[in-house]
Amino acid sequence: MIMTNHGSKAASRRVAGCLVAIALAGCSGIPTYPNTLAKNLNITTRVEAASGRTAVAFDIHRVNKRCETEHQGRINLEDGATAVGIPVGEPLFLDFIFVSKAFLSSSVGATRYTTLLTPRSGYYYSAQVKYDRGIYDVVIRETRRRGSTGHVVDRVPLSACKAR
Amino acid sequence: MMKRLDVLVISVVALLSGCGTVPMTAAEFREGASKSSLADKDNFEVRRPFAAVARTFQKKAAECLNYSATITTRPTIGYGSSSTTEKAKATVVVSAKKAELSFQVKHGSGQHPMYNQPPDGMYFLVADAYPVGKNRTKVEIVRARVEVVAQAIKLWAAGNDRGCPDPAKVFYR
Repeated sequence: MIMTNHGSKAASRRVAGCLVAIALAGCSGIPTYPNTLAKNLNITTRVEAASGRTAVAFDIHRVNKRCETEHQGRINLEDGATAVGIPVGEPLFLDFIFVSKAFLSSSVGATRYTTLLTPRSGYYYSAQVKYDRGIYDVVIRETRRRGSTGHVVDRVPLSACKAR
Repeated sequence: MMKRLDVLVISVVALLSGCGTVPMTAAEFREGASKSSLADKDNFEVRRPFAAVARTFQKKAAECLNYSATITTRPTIGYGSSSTTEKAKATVVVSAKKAELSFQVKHGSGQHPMYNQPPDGMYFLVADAYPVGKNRTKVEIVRARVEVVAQAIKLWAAGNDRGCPDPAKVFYR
């Protein structure tokens, strides 16, 4: 098991053993995100075939006034588009988890791309999630509904959260 | 897992055995690796201004190549596990004529009974960018494995500054 943790420039990346098991084996234990809100986030996932056995999970956390995260659930992302409804008007901690198994080895690694985001009412969000032979990438864009092409949302670490 | 790591560390030492010591600076790593048939070398040019390549190196190295990874090893038979930590650090030094990106990894405490090591870990890669014209930059990479880091640097140099190498794949493919 390899758990990775980036420094202050990049948001924290950690791995929990159960995440790997769940993402790869599909077993339960971590609640599935209910995804009942109006869909305002479209995630496009692409894991290149040459990347071997790699899975991507997406965890959504609310962030309370003390900057503590409250896990809302997980969506295992399949290749292609996934429509998600996320709360607006409050800070969220979005967590994309890339879980991969090494070739001819029992070792499993997981890397996280995390960011704070406060979705706005009247805006639409898209996330391009890509994993290609050991290189991962997440780009989140914000677009006003029926507006222009929008802009890329900067990544914000959880440490930037200020208690309200 | 740890056996693979040990092999890796030893291979780096062997790579530079011509010097008889572990390289303590990026310059020593570059010199030793450039003479060794065990090192991997990539030389290429990109159609981008040197200043733009240097800026990308600074941005992406800070974003992607400073991390810590915890490796937990469990026996195939029996119970229990052991953990060790890898701390990676990238340094970018830019001057008018050169941008140098070096990548170091410190395994565990960084102490080894046989070798002295740099305080921030052993060098595994040095990438140098040089201006070769108004809109062209030459990049030279010398490395001991860490293929995925080199691949990311090639993309960054070419102007694709989106991806990061997966730390879980830097040593474990």
